[in-house]
Amino acid sequence: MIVIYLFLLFCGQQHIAAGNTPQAQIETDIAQLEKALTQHSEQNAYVVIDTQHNRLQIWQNGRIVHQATCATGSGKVLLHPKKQDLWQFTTPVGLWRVKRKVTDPIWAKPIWAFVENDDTIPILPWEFRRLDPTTLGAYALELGDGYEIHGTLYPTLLGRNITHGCIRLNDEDLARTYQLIDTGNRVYIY
Amino acid sequence: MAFKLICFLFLLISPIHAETNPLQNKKEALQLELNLVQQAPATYYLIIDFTAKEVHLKADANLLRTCTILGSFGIKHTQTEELILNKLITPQTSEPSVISRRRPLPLDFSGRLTTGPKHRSRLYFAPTFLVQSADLPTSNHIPGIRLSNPDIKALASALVPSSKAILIPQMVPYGETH
Repeated sequence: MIVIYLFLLFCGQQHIAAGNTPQAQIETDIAQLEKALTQHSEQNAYVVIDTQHNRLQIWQNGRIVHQATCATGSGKVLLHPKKQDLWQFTTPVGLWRVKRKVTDPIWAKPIWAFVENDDTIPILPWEFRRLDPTTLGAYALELGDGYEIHGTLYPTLLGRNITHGCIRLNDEDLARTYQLIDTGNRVYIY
Repeated sequence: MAFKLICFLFLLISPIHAETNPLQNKKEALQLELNLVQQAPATYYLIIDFTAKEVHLKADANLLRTCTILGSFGIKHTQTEELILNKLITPQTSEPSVISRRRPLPLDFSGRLTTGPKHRSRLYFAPTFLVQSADLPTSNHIPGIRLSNPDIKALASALVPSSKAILIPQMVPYGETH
């Protein structure tokens, strides 16, 4: 019994001598967990888009470095009169990454753009009248699946849900976003 | 001797129980968040922090939005807890699927309307916890918090059923470093 008592006493003293009290141990664990979480978090700038209030924010190192009013998907549904196709113009929620950065982008109009305006639909995918060099503004950040962050011809409509799914910004905010965000950076949309 | 041994063991163990609660809660919350980030990357989750009176919308440990808690109701939690979003409750009513109509009604927009999140909504988590708009009535039998209408609409847009939330009771300063 004496031996056990002395052993436990020795262990306890060693424990305290090393500054390894339960409290200190928990603090060490917390520091390690915080470090692990920091390693998981994004070190580069990332974009956060609130589609409900049409706000775009650029975050870096835990703070907002730029924010802007944007325009996002209207949620409207468009029906193809002949083929019974259906398009819904929503901005998709979730994590995206910037796949490509483009200057002076040219918009290759999809079929819905012609259906919406009651125009005849081009038969060939490379027809010249599909190409529109003015609508997207000076820059575009491609997110994939045809969704982009780009400029607008109608800056007075920013702050509303009026787009076909893309995110529109005015010229100054678009230039700043293009400057701050690189290819591969994350874009969180909710 | 046996008495001394018992006394020694008691003295050795007692500080753990006396001091660990606040920090232990913080540690548990961080551990839960780390597990969440590792197991489900790129998914949105909430940190409901009663100490800071804030709700953080996060993904991959990145902060996306901070909402101020305007008030709370029901039984107060004393321990860190992981919650799972069960359903979004909105004022809009949907027609039960058991009803079969012979012909469409004059104003039948079924399948055409966008049924997005609303300002006046409730997020119902399991085990029972409500995150709801500030102007909706509350119950003392169900624990929950009240947020501003824009915050509720944003959170309702981000979260889906099975999204998770980590609840931190009012004790520990949390999230100061990340």
